[in-house]
Amino acid sequence: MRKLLLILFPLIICACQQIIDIDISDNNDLVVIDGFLSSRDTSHVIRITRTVSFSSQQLSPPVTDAEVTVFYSENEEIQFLHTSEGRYESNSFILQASVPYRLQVILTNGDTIVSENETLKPAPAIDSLHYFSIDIPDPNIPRQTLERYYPVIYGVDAAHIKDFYMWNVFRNDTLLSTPQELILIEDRFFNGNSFRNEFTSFLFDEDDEIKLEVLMISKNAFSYLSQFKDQAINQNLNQPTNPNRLLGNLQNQSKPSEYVLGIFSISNSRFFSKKVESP
Amino acid sequence: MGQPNKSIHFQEDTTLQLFDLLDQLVASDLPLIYSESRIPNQQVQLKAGMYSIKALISLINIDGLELTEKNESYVLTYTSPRKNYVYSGYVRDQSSGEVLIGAIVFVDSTSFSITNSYGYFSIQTDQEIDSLSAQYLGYQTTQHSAKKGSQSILLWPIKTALKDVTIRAYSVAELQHQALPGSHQLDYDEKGDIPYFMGEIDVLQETLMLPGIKTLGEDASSIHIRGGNNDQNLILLDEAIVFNPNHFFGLISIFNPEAVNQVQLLKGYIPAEYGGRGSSIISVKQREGNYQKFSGAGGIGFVSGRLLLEGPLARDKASFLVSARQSIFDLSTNRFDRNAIRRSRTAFQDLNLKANWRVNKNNTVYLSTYLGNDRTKSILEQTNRWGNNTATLRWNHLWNDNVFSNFSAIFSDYNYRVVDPLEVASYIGRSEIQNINIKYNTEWSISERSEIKFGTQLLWHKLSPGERLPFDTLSSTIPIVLDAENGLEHGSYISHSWQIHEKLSLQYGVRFTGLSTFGPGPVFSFEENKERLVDNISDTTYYGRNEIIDRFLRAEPRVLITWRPDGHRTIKAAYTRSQQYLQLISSSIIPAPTDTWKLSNRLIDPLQVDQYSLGYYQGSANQQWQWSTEAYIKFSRNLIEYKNGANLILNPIQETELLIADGRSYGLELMARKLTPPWTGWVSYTLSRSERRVRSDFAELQINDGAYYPDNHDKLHDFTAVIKYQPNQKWSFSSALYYNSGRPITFPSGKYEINGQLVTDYSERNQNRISDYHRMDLSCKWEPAGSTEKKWHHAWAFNIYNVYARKNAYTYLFRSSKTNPRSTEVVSYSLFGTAIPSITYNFSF
Repeated sequence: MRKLLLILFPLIICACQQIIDIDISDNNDLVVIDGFLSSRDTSHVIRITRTVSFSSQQLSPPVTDAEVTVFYSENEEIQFLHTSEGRYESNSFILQASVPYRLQVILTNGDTIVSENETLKPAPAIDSLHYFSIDIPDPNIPRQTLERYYPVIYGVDAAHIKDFYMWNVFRNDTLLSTPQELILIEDRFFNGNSFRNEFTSFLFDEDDEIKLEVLMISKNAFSYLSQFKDQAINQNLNQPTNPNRLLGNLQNQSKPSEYVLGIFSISNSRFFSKKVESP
Repeated sequence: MGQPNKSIHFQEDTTLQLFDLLDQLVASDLPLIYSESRIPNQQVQLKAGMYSIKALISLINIDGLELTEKNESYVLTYTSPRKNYVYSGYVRDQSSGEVLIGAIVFVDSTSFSITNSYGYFSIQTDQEIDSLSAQYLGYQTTQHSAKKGSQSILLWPIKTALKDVTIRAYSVAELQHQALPGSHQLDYDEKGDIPYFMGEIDVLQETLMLPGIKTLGEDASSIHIRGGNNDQNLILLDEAIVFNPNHFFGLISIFNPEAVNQVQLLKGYIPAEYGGRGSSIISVKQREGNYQKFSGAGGIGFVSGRLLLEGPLARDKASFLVSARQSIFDLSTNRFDRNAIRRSRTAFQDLNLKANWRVNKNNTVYLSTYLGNDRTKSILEQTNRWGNNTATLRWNHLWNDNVFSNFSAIFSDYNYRVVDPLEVASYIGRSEIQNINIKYNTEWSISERSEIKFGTQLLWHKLSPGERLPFDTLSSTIPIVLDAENGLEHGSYISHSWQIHEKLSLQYGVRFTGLSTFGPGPVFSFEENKERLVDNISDTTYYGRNEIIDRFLRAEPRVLITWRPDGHRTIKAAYTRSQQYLQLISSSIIPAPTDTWKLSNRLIDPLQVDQYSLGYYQGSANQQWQWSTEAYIKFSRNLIEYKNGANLILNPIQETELLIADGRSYGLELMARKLTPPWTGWVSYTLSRSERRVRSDFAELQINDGAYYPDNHDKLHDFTAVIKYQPNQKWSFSSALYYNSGRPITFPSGKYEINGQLVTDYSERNQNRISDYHRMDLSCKWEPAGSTEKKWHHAWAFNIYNVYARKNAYTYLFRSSKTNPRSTEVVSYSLFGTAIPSITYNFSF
């Protein structure tokens, strides 16, 4: 998709945007489960909410009285208890590699929601973090350039395994969190090889601290997040299909025809950081 | 009264004149009535023997001589047999010798012919004629002495025409009678009179002003004709297939205007000689070059510079044409931002070459090529390059004055290449489609009322859907080369045009088509009653080189009935079935250079389109106006649709990402034209619907629960008005006004948060619409006084695109507010939110 955007670059520079007021009559009320568990945490959080009208000024209403359980191994389970605003927190536990995890949520109306199994993948083999400089046009001074820096990661992809990488980029400990800044890469084109990933979309200045988190996520999570990113960036514009409802790996067993939004995901995480020094 | 059955006896072989024989019969008391003044007196030879009068008359071998029995007498009459006189040849431009395609050559309102794609005509009459008249848009209608057999008719362009020659022009209604329903011969404006984007002169942009033709945005990158997909248009350049007709992201077509002779658009009835696409034919013919003298033409604007050179290789025998175009958009924008442009570049180029050789009066050979490419280079060093290459060799041969044939050998290629040295695994990517096309067509004019066309075509497709190779030895990219698809498409047709009656004509035919796909390559089978997923592959069969994998055979009937109640009105009804064995797999809703094509196979049946149309055409008595109304309904089967989140790039089993849909579209098209200066122009309006539904056994794959939903290009109302005013030779002014309903879009059905991100929830597809589109463009052309009399002709064209700076929505973005992340906002995204002035200089010598 990035390639397509680059090809369409000249059109984009001619474009203009304006906020408009249109009537969107929407009234669906679906359960949403935000279940991203990561090895970075020891106390885990699953959030359960409901969808809200797109034009609403309110955040999603929380679901506060569900029974939330994560099953793993054969008969092990972890209870998640509601704390506030639809957040369900577990006691401290460490995610184990190669163990299938499955989420179960029982709503007060008796509906049972279950996820597909998720497994913690091996930690990513990242060797090092560096940064390169690039000259870009100075937006304030015509015909002048600025020297800025972008991060470069060196790593080795595991052979014979389909790996799915998700990158979080932090500038001075602040997560860069727009959909455009969500970096998703699958190893389809470099499986088993060493690789170099140049984060050319992220430009830093001298004295900035670059921090990168790499997460090994499942195919389900990768597909879900890729669709989310495509739809968020290229709504109705440069995507193969029209925007559609994002469905993860959750199902309402009591009412199979009722959609459950969100996803349950287990990911392995590592952090890297480096400060941009004066040349 | 004599005996009617009386015989006459010749004792020996006899040779005598007919009148002498008849005298003898009468002298023998045979009751024979005849008039010598109405019977030709020819020599008659008879063998010895006894003959009844009936036997005797039948032995006299004179066509038209007839004996009838009446009131116990014999009446001998003679009807002169109809003779066929054939007048054929080419219609050419007097000054350049270039053939004129679509010129009408006529004797009267019932004896006429329209020159074919090679400028050839053939008229048959039952009596000798002294003169033929010829008429062509932009040329003086003139009368020429006729001679039997082949001839050249030369027409003068209006600006240099002989002013004292006047002749009856063919009426507008009669021209409409000849035209196919749903067809347009584009009078594209090569002098910059009609405003286009940035003052560019363009062929495809004019199609957008015609009824029944829509785009997703304001560019022509995605042309949808009568509800058809973008890939259902067969775009031909000198008969070579053009897979991507656009430069500059659809704002400019690849057709260099100076090199174009004629453009024909067929969107209703499609004659049997055409096939391969479901919705339309857009046939662009390049000029031949000047057979008389060396000349040139060109122009320069903000976007591109053009130059054409042409001349005789051997006067009146052979000619050449060289035409080139180079984008200068980068140079133009360089004035504003030198640094950015140095890093990010966009460019395109065209080169057209053509040579022609009139070997003799019966043989002409044409050789033409086109080479074009677009290139972009981003600030991040990624380069993209794509383009079409074509080569066409044609041989026109006249077997006799009635039989015209053409043999063509054609090569077409479209390729895309990307180099990305900074990607996570730096790579060089490539995809390509090539085809070799051999075809032979014959037109046989049987009589003045009947013509047969037949021919055959072989089309070899080679599709390389994609490869990704390491950028250098340090790259971590795994080489990926997807299996090529090979297919032999064939088509044979026969059609008959029959003028049944002065007011009624019939054109019917059938095209037999087929596709055979060949190895090497794998074919995947999937588990029954399961979704077509990689995980559900049950078997893989590998086919060897040239081994047949799949085979399709189809018939495409075509019928056209024309009824002309009088000289001003025509009614036409038509039916066309088309098969399409090649469909576009697009990685975006808007066509992109990265798109690839896919041949039909056992999992993707050929696309089939059935169209029924009915048209009413009328011309004014004073020949200043013409009106047309056409209604159509169209049914499509086996359209390609995509699963949600389809992953198509370098996917070796794209079938797992595709769905199959049915389509239906229907509409009413109205058009009125004013033909005579100083005020000319047209108004067109289309009321139409275009919908599709996905067929799937799995509920989760159905879109909108399997109901019909609007196509992305469905627009209920579409209105265009083009007005041109030319008060004198020096000045001309024109304006174009566009209005259409907003295209379908999917509005959100809610929102929620996941992993700290706002997620928009969507449900029913395309149930809403963006705002209506409208725009006005203005143009003014100034040709300095006396320019037309000088060797160097030149003119300036001033254009304003989007005069009132309307911010037409291209799409809507649904996102969280930048000022208040808790709330959301809807953003209207416009490609051009302002008026864009431009100036273009055009010249010829």
